[in-house]
Formats: sequence, structure tokens, C-alpha cells
Amino acid sequence: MGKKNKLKAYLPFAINVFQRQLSYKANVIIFLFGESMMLAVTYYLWRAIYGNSPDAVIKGFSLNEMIIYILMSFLTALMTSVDISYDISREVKDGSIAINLVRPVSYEKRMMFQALGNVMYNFLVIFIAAFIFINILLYSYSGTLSISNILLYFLSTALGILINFYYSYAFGLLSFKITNMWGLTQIMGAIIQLLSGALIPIAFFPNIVQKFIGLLPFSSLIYTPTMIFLGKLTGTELVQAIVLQLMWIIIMAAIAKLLWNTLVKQLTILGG
Amino acid sequence: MRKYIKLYKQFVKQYIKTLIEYRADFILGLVGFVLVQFVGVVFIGLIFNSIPELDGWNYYEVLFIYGLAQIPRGIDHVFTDNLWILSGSIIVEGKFDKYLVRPLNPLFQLIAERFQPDGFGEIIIGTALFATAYAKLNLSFGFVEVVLLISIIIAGSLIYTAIKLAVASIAFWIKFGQSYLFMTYQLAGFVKYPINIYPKAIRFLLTFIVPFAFTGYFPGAYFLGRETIWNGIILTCLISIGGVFVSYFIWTKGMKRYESSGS
Amino acid sequence: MIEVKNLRKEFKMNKKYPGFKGAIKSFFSTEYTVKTAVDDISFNIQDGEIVGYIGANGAGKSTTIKMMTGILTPTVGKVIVNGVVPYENRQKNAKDIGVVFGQKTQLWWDLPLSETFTLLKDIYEVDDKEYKERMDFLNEVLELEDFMLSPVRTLSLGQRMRGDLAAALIHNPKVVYLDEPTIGLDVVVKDNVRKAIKKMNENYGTTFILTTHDLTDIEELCNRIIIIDNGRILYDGGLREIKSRFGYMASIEIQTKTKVDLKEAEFIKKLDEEYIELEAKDSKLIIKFNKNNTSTTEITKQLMGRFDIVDFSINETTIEDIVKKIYKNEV
Ligand SMILES: Nc1ncnc2c1ncn2[C@@H]1O[C@H](COP(=O)(O)OP(=O)(O)OP(=O)(O)O)[C@@H](O)[C@H]1O
Ligand SMILES: [Mg+2]
Repeated sequence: MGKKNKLKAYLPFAINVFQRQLSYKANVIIFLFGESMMLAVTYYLWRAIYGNSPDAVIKGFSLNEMIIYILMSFLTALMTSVDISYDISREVKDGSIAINLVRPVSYEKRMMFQALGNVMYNFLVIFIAAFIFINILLYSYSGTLSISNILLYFLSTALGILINFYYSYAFGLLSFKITNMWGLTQIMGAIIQLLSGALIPIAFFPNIVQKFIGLLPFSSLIYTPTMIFLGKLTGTELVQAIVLQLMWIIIMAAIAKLLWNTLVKQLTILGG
Repeated sequence: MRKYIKLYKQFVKQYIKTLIEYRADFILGLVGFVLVQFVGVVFIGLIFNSIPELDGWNYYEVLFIYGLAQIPRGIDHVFTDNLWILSGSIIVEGKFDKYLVRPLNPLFQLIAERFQPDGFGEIIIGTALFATAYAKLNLSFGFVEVVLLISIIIAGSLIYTAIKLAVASIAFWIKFGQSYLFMTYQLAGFVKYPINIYPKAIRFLLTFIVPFAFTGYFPGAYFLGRETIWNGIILTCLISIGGVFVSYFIWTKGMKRYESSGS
Repeated sequence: MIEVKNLRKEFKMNKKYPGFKGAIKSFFSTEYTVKTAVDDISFNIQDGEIVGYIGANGAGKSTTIKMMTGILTPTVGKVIVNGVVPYENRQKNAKDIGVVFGQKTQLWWDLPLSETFTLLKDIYEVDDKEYKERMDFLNEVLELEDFMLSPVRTLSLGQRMRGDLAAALIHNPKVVYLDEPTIGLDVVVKDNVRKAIKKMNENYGTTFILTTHDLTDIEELCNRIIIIDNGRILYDGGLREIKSRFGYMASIEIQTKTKVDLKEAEFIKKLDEEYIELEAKDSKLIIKFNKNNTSTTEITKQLMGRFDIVDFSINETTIEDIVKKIYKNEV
């Protein structure tokens, strides 16, 4: 049996999630509406900020670039923040994890395919249209589009998705031990929002804080791909950023494996 | 009415017992919400590094409104969080049945059932920001201002509750309504900042349709001497009372449509 | 007294299509189907009766109970419970009724059971003396003592159900509705639950309406049963009558080493001319018979000689079998 065949067994998990998402039709529209409201708040806020600023360029961003940044970081966040930990903690809570552990499938792979279903859904239903729109907008601002930036953006986003997967998976495994995941989720959500560049470009932080943020995986999720798209990362900086992303995938995957190995033992002890 | 107050006290007493039992959970939740709010403050701080003022509002004035807006939001969060669950699962799963077979107002039962201390995170940050801004802006409130402040905080909380109740009741028609509630909550994001930075249409929406602007901006602007007492205080109180009636009406209409679930 | 007149309930449901393509189709569709769960049901129940309300899964039992308790409003028809229309006057009606839904608990999830009762005392405004009396009684029959101080979410199903039942009885309601009160309970707990129902009925004249899939519940408690199927009443009357007609059906299933030929087993039919049915599947033989006319021992004795039996089991008739039976007879 080839590896390809084996993976095929997991495909239904992805399709299942995709279908489930589709069946919440009204929710999709409402969700988009809600999110676009958030974008509107941010948009008007930045317009006001640039209107009040003595300089046309703040921290290296012009208003147009900032608008692209807001839209693009939002879209990237959508792709790179698929929430696996929620699925895991729900399974732990309602006890269905027990059944899933005795099934002849790898839990990690299964979760990965569920995440894939989600990513596919987001990609087809939201990403494609929004991405084209942003590119048109960018073209209308600058008159050019860089194919290499776009391609590198896709690469970097794919890496971001993987980092997020392992992070979210490892985080979800904690629910084997911790009962109040809700509180922890809030905490991590707040941290990610601030340090991934989703709220404000990391360039706005004081230098020393920027250095510190560079040591954490969060900016690899959203900030790196978005800056690549904007063409603000080039040459060695760009290579460094992508190597860093690769490194974080390896580290996160290792942490996830370690957590799984230790926690799954405890789970069986508890269940015994 | 007496019976209801007595019962509510009993419920809260029980919840405090549970909180003590689950200290760690409680603290995590609280820290989480403080942090979420804190992120918003950091954002404002970073922005004001680059600009002196925002459409006529200085840093501390923005913080003043931001802080004031968080307090009613937190209060509402503490007391009526079960409305989220209503729109998310209680109706879909037919769990509303049990409120209908007890000789008490179903809305009271629903609200009394849950007490969400996470909301204190918003209250704490809101109060801290408000106090800091109050000191830095050299404001000095007399007795009258304090009374007004307390009444607009109560009115603001009621506005939050009314909007939440009206939107959560949508679930009676469409079963799963959490996304609508989510959307409405996103709308509340607008009023963290002075609303004169938005175009007319959005200001209209926040003032007359979904009146979040009265939970922070209008009263805050009144205390900063930018709005009349009519807009800042009186209208806030009137809208909160009107809002409660309208939303309770929607709720009652919705309850008539409740269909339970199979089994 | 409870009066149910021409009751009917329809549910509207969005149409769903199966499969992946179906999911996409449903995404764009706004069609719906109408499901009639209860279809023109009428009956009266006198004070102090214990009525068994039975029928197959999806027959409409819970839906009827929900209309009687005021949770649902009927599409057509009317319910009057002691002069009150439950769905129009919910709180007034709720004061005098007790409800247990075996599938869902009505207790407060995070509270210890004991606190639940304190709250219920205030909700129903039960005075101290009565409360103590009732509590002692319930404690005795339902043996609540052991888990009184545990939070409800930590209780086992049986413990929770006893808690739910006690919570429904604490205020001495005039009418109690029990929707599958014995689902998933072990024999001992089932017995406790039945005892509690019986004693409440004897001591306080409480009216009970209960649905169940366990025939023994009915046999031990009810003097009257109402059978429904597909939302319509098939039978309403005494228990003895229905017992003599259908209640003693049983079946034996044997597993043999070799394939069974139906003809070989035909001789069994001689044991009871009136009713014995045979069914064969590969090496399995199923014999359905009436316990009033012949016995299990008799049949097995006969079979032992003829077949090479590997395994065998005896099944009592379930309530669904009776419902099915009645349904067939009527059509
Ligand atoms: N809220 C609802 N929405 C749509 N259909 C419903 C709803 N409640 C019940 N039904 C349908 O009405 C029919 C009767 O359901 P009901 O729950 O009354 O059956 P039941 O006799 O209690 O069955 P069971 O023995 O399985 O509990 C079923 O076909 C069910 O699918
Ligand atoms: Mg039922």
C-alpha cells in the first residue's frame, strides 16, 4: 500500500467538515457581514489617524499600503487561524474522544484533515474572491502587481497554516488536563491578536519589543505573509523569514508530539 | 417581585460557592478578559505614538470614552451571558422546555441560571482606564455628576442587555442565532472610539438603529463637555427604557414560536 | 381533570438533501416539508388516574406531552388541565404540575442536588412543614441521601433521574407528566421509581401520565393505557383487556449447527393451534408464541430432540410489538 492510499482514508474527514460548514448557509453570510464591520471600524480609524498625522507615511506605511495591510492581514488570519483546539476540547468534554482514540486512525492526521476541510472551505468561499478584490485594489493604487510576491505569499501562508495547525493542535491537547479552556483560549487569542500583526503592523511597536516578538512564532502566522505580499520583505530578510517559518513548523510539530505522548498516557490512566 | 429578588440572591450565592470551588477557572477567565481589553488599550497607545490627536480628541479623552464604554458592557456580560447560550444551543437542542414548565418568568430563569464573572475583566479595565483618564484630564465630579454617571452606567448596561435580548431572540425563528449575536457584538466595536471619525451612515446606525453609541460615546462626550445633557444623559436613559420594552416584546413574540425539539 | 380535544401539531422543516451535492443544493434551497407529529387526538383523564401513553419511536408521545404541559402550542385543537389552558397560561398551569423528561434533565447542572430542592421550595412556595414531610417521603422511597450533596453534573443517569423525579414531586403537584422516566435505569432503581409513583398516587391522589417503552412499567402502574401510532390514537382503554389480547406474546430464538428447514419445525405448531409463528434465517429459527396457551419449557423440550442447538434465547414481547400488532389488526 502506498502512502497515497493511506491518506485517502482521511479524506472523508476533510469533506465532512467542508459539508458541515456549507450547511450553515445563513451563518456564512452573517459572519462575513460581522467581520466586514470590524474591517470598517479599522478602516475609518486608520483614515482618521492618517488625517491627523503630520506625515503621509507612518512607520513606513502610506495610507494606501495600510489599507492593503488591514485587508490582507485579515484574510491571512482567516486562513491561518483554523481552530482545531476547539474541536479537541469539545471531544474531550462530551467524551467522544474515547471512541476516537480506539478507532484505527491517527488522531493527529484526522485533525489535520479536519483542518484541511476548513481551510478548503475558507479558501473557496471567501479567500479567492477577496484575494482578487485586494489585488485589483492594489493595482489601482500602485499600477503594478508582482507575480513573485503573490507566489511567495502563497508559500508563506501555507507555512503559516501549518504552524497554526500544530500550535492549535498542541494547545487543544492541553484540554486533556485543563478544564477551563475557555479562559486560556481568551488569553492566547489576545496574545496572538497583538503579536501576530493582526491588529497593527509589528513595525508600530518600539524596537526592543519588535526584537522580542521576533523570537515568538506568532508573527510567522500573519505578519510575514502579509509583508511579503506588500513587497516589504525582500532579499535576505525574506529568506530569513521563510526559514524561520520552517523552523517553527518543526518546533511546533515536536512540541505537539511530545504533548501527545505524555498526555495520552494520563488520559488512559484517568479513563481506566 | 420579592420572590424574584430572593431567588436571584439564592442563585448568586450558589454561584459564588461554585466560583470558590473552581478558583483556577475563574482566574483564567478573568485574566483572559482583562488581557483582551488590554490589547485594545495597547493599540490606542501605539497609535497615539504617531499622532497628537484623533479628530479633535486627545489620548486621554479617547481613553475616557473607551473606559466608560467598557463598564456597562462588562456589567451586562456578568449578568446576562446565558443569552449567548440561548442563541447557540438552548433553543436548537430543545433545552428551553424546562423554563416553560416552572411557575416563574422564563426570562428570569434563563438569566438567573448563569453568572459570568469573566465580565469583571471588562469592568476592571474599564474602571482603571476611566480613573486614569479622569485624573489626567483634571476632571472633578461633584455629587450631581456622580449620580449622573451611575445612572448612565445602569442605562448603558440595560441598552446592552436590550440589544442582546432582541438579537438572541432571533433564535426562536431560525433556531441557531449565535452568528447574529456575534455580528451585533462586532458592531459594538465601533463605539470604542469617538464616533465622529465614521461617516454619517454608520453614525446613524449606531445612534438610532442599534444604539450602542449611548453606552459610551454620548455620555462620555457629555462629561468631557462636548455633548448636551439631553444627548448625553436624558436620551441615554430614555433609550434604555424604550429598548428594554421593545426587546422584551420581541422575546415574548419569539417564545410563542418555540418548537422544542424531537425526542 | 384533563381534557384533550382534537389535538394536532405540525412541524415545518427545511428540506435537506443527502450527500455532497445535496449539501450544496440545500445551501440554495428554501423549500420546507410539513411533518404532522400529532394528528387529531382526543381523550379525557380523571383525577387520580395513572395513564400509560405508549407508542413506537416517533409516534408523537413527547409532542402530546409537550402540548399538555404548555411547552408547545397546538396547531389545531385544545388542551384544558383543571380549567387552565397550559400554553396560554403557562405559569398558572406550572404551579400545579410536575414534569420529568427522561432524556433531558431539568435540574441545575452546577448545583448540588440539595440546593436544587431549596431553590424549588422557594420557586413553588412550599411551606416548611410540607417541604419537610415531602422531602422525608422522597428520601425514603428514592434513596437520595447518598448523592444529595453532589453537583448534578457528577450524578449517574439513575441518580439524576431519581433527582429529577423528586424535583417534579416536591411541591405536591396535582398532575405529573413523566416522559420515559425509566429510560436507562437498572432494575432496582426502576423499582424505586415505580414505588414513588404508586405511593404519591395512593397518598395524595396525584394524577400521572407517563410514556415508556417498558411494558413492566405499565403493568405495575397503570390502570389505563392509550396507544398511539403516527400521531393517531389506536387504542384507549383498560390494561387487562389489552393484556389478554396481546400481552403474552413471546419468542424463542435458537441457533443450530446446520441450516434450518422451516418444514422440519412445522410440528411445533401443534402445541397451540391458535397462534404460533415460525421464521427461519440460515441456521437461526425464531418461534413466536402466546404464553397463555403454551410454555417456553414445552417448546424447548420439543426442539431439543430435533435440532442440534448451539445457543438459544427467549424474548418477551416489547410494547412496540403490541403496537405493531394492533396497528396490523386495524388496517
Ligand atoms: N421540534 C420538532 N421539529 C420537527 N419535528 C419534530 C419536532 N419534535 C418532534 N418532531 C417529529 O414529530 C414526530 C413525533 O415525535 P415525538 O418526539 O413526539 O415522538 P415520541 O413518540 O416521543 O418518540 P420516542 O419514543 O422516540 O420518544 C417525529 O417524527 C419527530 O421527528
Ligand atoms: Mg419521546
